[in-house]
This record gives sequence, C-alpha cells and structure tokens, in this order.
Amino acid sequence: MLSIENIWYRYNNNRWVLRGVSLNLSKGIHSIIGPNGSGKTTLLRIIIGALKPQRGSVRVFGEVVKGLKSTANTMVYVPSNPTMFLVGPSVGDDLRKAWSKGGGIDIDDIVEFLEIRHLLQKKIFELSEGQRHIVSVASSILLNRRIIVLDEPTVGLDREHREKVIRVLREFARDKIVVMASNDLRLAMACDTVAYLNNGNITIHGSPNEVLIRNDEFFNNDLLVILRHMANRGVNIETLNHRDIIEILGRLLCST
Amino acid sequence: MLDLRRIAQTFMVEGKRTAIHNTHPILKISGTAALFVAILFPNILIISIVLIVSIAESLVAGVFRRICSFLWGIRYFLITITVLSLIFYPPKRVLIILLRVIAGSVLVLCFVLTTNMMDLAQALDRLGIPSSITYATLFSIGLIPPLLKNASNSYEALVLRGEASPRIIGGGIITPLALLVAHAIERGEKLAEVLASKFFSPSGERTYFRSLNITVYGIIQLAFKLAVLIFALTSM
Repeated sequence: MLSIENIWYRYNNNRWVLRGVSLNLSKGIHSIIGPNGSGKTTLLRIIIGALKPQRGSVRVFGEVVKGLKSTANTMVYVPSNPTMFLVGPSVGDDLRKAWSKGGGIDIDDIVEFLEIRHLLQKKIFELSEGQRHIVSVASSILLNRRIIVLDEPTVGLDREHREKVIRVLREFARDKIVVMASNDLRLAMACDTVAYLNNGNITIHGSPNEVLIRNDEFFNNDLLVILRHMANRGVNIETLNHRDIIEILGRLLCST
Repeated sequence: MLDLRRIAQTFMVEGKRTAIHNTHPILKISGTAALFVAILFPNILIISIVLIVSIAESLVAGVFRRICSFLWGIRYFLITITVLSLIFYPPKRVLIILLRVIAGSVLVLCFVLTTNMMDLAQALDRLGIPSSITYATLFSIGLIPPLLKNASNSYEALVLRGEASPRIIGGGIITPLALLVAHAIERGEKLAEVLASKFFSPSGERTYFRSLNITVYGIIQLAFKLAVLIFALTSM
C-alpha cells in the first residue's frame, strides 16, 4: 500500500504547488491527471523521496519515505524524459542491466510482448522519443520493484504502442503498484483508478468512469463537451451508431 | 559532491520585477564585471565589500534565499576547496580563496537570477556585437537551468535504478554525468535547428518586444561598483 498523507509542498517559498494532497493506492495501475503545472511531477518526485514535503508524509508499505535512499529498493522512477533513465549504450545492454538488478521477469518475454527485438542492437540515441518511452517502460518492469512510478509514459506514442504500454504493465506488473502522471485521457481510461489533481489538491479519485462523469474541468475540451453540444442541439446521443457520430462530428467541425 | 536538486531549483524562474530586475542589462553586466575584477585582488576588505553589496542586492531583488540554497547545494565542494587549500596555503590565503568563491558565486547568481537573457541579447545587439557571438553565449547560459533540471531528474531515476548512489559524497556521478553530456549534445543539435528556423542567424534581424530603460538606480549602482573597483586598484 502506498499512502500519501496530507502533502504540502512549495518550491523556494513560492506559492503552494500541493495543498494537502492525500491518496491511498493499492496494487494496480493508477493515473494522476490534471492540467499542466498542477503539480503531477512534483507529487511523483515526493512519492519517490526526491523532494521532501514541507508538511505531510508518504508511507510505503507502512514505512515513511525519508529520501531516495529509503525507496531505492522498493521503487523505480521513469522521468518524463526517458533519455535520462536509460543507461544503454544499446537497448539490449540497458534491458540486461535492468534485469541483472531485478531478475524474476524474463527479458525475452517482454521483448516479444512489446515487439522490440529489432531495437535490441540500436544505441539509445538512435531511438525516437516514442521508442525510448517503450524501452524505458520495459526496463522499469525488468527492475522488478514493488512500485513503478512513470511520468508521462506515453508521450510520443501512437495508439498501438500506447495500448501496448498498458497491456505490458497489466501482464508483467500485476502484483505491483503502478503510478503514472499523464495528460493522456486514453491512458487514464485504461487504468484502475484515476486521481484528478487541480490547484494543488486531488479533487476526485475513483474509477475512470466515475472521474469522467464527475469532472467537468479536465474534460471540458474533449469528447464529453462535443457529446453535450450534440445533446443540446436536440440529438439523442443514446440512439446513435458510430456512422451517425462520425457524420455529426464532421458537420460540427465544418460549422466551427 | 554537488546537490543537483538544490542547484537546479535555484534557477527556477520567478516573475519578480524589482528595481534590480529593471536595471539596464549593460549597466548591470558592467557593474558585475567591475566587482568581479575587484575580487581578484587578494584583499579581504574589498572582497567583503563585494560580498556585502551582492548580498544587499540579492535581498532587494528577493533572490537571497535561492542563492543561499545554491551555496548549500555546493557545500561539499566548498569544504573540499577549503581542505585542499589548507594543505598548500596559509589560513589567511585560504580565507581569501573561500571568500572569493562565495562572493563570486553570489555576484554572478544575483546577475543571472535578475536578468532576462533576451534583454541582455537585445542590449548587446544594439551595441553592435555580432549576434552569432551574443546568441551562442546567451543560449549556452540559457541551457544551464534545463540541463541542471535534467541532471537532477536523471540522478533520481538512476539512484532508484541502482546505477548511482544516493549518498551525496562519493555517490556514483559518472553515469549521470555521461548521460547529461550526451543529452546536452542532443539538445544542442535540436536547439540549433530551432534557432535556424526562427531566423536566429547572423544575418537575421530580430524584433524585440521590451524596451530597455536606463534608470537612476542603474547609474548609481554602476558608479558605486566602479568606485569599488577603483578603490581596489588604488589599494594595491
């Protein structure tokens, strides 16, 4: 169990970035969403012990996190720039190094699952941003820690690879706590729970559907608004099939 | 040896506008240069004056806490310098060396934290300094904060990966450093492409959106700092 208890944090005496954040996360995949600058990365860095909150504490399986030293054997953290996580020099070397420190999970299984065999001989700096994200997720799983913390793991990934990231975490990190900060709605919808962080606080935490229904702030520019817009125009959205939706969306796009 | 997290946080941008922030960049850089030359003289009194002036300015500009945080971040480096110096030099000279490092750090940080680099570019541009030199220098300086942030992030990730030690003293710095250099090169290449696409080339003419004014404070601070330099020169 990962318990975040009443965390308050601010940088250099500026405004509070986090204002009393509390969250309890058990085994499963959890997403922290929120607008840019809402404090998602700061919260992740507090969880791993890189930042010390001014108030509150983080407990990992009952023990208070007291810096990176205390989490070094329990957690793995992949920053939003995965280049800073991959030690290479080649993809194969990187995966082997991660496996040698973790063990328990077969490299070949993950390589096959993610279909990255063709990347094994490549140097890290020859990879695209998206490929680096995929490899970093694979390495983080191979390290076999009880908690995996990922910052924006799907930036630069196409739909197929984004789904693969979720599937690989479901397949190989079933018994772990996976926490990720993301602005990717589709990723959030595939998680077990979603926490919405805004103005330094978690305003909603629940299943993706629950958050989608209750949250007007984050989804106000997305499909929900379009559906509401259609409903306001007298369209009965419950009886629509996908062809109707595409046609109406097309008309809406042309009229705006 | 270096507390990268603390150092990176020093350079986080703040939107403050004080008299020191509003000082014309050329007057400010001239004053800073004058004081920098002054601390090169091995005179405790002059170095102390520079330190006091720099601390006063940083207090007015509201960046003093960040400078203190930076100095705390390099505390082990300062201790190492002190210990090594004590082996080779007498205590008075060690004191001068230490004061010089601290005064120099406060002086330069106060300038960097209160100066918009694009304002400085504009001022240098108007003085007729080739933009290839100006931009190359300023963008290199501008790359330091994001690189420090990356270094800090990288260090955290690598500690948890087991590739670096969580201890500040004696921690495995080679891997994060190698990654940082590789990343800096990659970032530099991308930056060059971006700049070329935005006409930051020697032949490109820039439009600046902020006007720079010479304020009374700017002139007074420069006069005072030049006086300190003259005092240093005459007291040799």
